[in-house]
Amino acid sequence: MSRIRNFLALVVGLVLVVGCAQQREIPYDRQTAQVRTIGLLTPAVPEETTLFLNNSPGAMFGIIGALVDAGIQTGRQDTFNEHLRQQNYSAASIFTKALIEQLRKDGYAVREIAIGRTPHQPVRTLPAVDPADPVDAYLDVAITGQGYVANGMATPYRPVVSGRARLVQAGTNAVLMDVPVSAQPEALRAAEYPDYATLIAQVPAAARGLEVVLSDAGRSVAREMQ
Amino acid sequence: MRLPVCVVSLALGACAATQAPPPVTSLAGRACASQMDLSPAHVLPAPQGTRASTLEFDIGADASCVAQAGEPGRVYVVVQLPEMAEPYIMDVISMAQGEATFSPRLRVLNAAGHVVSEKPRSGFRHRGTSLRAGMQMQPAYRTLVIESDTEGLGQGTDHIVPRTDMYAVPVGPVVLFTRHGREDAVQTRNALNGRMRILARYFPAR
Repeated sequence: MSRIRNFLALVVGLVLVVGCAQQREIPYDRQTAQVRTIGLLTPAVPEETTLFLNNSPGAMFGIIGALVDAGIQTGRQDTFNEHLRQQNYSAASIFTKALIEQLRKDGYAVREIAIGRTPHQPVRTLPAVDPADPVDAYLDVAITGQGYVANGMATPYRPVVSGRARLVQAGTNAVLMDVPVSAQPEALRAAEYPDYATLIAQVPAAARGLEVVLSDAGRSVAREMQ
Repeated sequence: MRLPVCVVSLALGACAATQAPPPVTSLAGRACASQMDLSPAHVLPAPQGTRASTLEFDIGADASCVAQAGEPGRVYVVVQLPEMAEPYIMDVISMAQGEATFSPRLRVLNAAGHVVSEKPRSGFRHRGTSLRAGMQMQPAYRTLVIESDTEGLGQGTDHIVPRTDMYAVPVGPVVLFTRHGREDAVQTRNALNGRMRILARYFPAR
C-alpha cells in the first residue's frame, strides 16, 4: 500500500506543480542581484523515476478499479526502476552536472553545498553563511517528478520533468528568483515509446531520453539566470 | 425560417474567427522607417492589489517596422508602462496565433529614452506553445519596446499538446463517464506576426 501511496505522490508532484507555478514566479534580474558566487544546495531529486499512464481505462472503474490500476502501474514503475539501476542511471547527477556546467559557462562561480532535505520540498532553513567561504546566494532546486508519462492508451510514453528553482540571497534570505523547472519542446521529444512493452525492452535508450530532458532542465534553470 | 439562417451565419462566423493568419517571415516589399517612432501604441495598466493587469494585442504584418543601415528590418511595438511607486514583475508572453509565434526581444527605456534593461530572444522559454519571459521592473522604467528578432525567422518548433476527452457511456440504467487521453501535434514558426500578452503584477508576498 505504501508503494502505491509513494507512486501517487510522485505522479501528483509531476502533474500539479505546473498549475501553481505562475502566481509565485519571480524572474531573475542579474543586474540588480549582483550575484557572482552561487551556493548550490544539493538538489532534491526523487530517487524513483515515474512511469505513469494517464487516463488509464482501469482507473475509471470506481475505487477498486483505481486501486487495481495503481497496483499495476506501481509494479511497472518498480520494474522500470530496477532496470534503470542496472544502467547506473542517476537523475540527480545528470541534472546537477548540466546545471553547474551552464552556470559556470554563464560566468558564475559555483560551490556545491551538501544538505539533507525533504523530497519535493524547498529547503526550509538555509545554511548560515560561512565567512571563510562566502556565497552571494543559495540556489535551491526541488525536482518534484522525472520519468515517462503517456497521456492515454493510444499515446506514447514521453520523458518529462518538473520542479521549482529558487535563488535566495545569502544573509537576507530575500528571494531573487523563483521559477518552474521544465524542459523545452525539442528535449521533450527526445524519446517516445508507443507502449510499456516497447519501453521496458529498450531501457538503455529510455535512460538516454531521460538524460536529454534532465540535462535540458538543468541548463534551463541556469539560463533563467543569464 | 430565420433560426436556421442565424445558426448557419454563427457557424460561418466561428469558422472565420478561427482562421489565423499565416506566419509572416519577411518584410520584403515593406518600406521601413530608418528611426523608431517611440510614441506608444498600447498602454499597460497598473496591477490592482493581487490581481495582475493584462494587455493583449495582435502584431500583424502591417505593424511598424524599422530598418537601420546594414541591418535587416524589424517589426516593433511600443508599450507605455504603468506609473508605479514600487518595483513590480512584468511577464511577456508571445502566444501562437495559428502557426505564427512572434519572435520577440525586449528593450526597456527610462523617461530620458535610455535603454535600462533588455531581454534577448534567448531569454524567452517555451511554456506549451507560447514563449514567455519575465522581467523585474523598476518605477523609473517608462517604455517597453517589443521588437522582432531577426535570427531564426521561419524556424519551426514541434509541440505535443496533451488533451483529455470525456465521454458519457450509457450502460443499462447507469451512465459511465470515461476519459480518453490523446495528444495533438502542433507546429509553430518564429514569425513577424502573432499575439502578445503582457502582465504586470506585484511581487508575491515574501
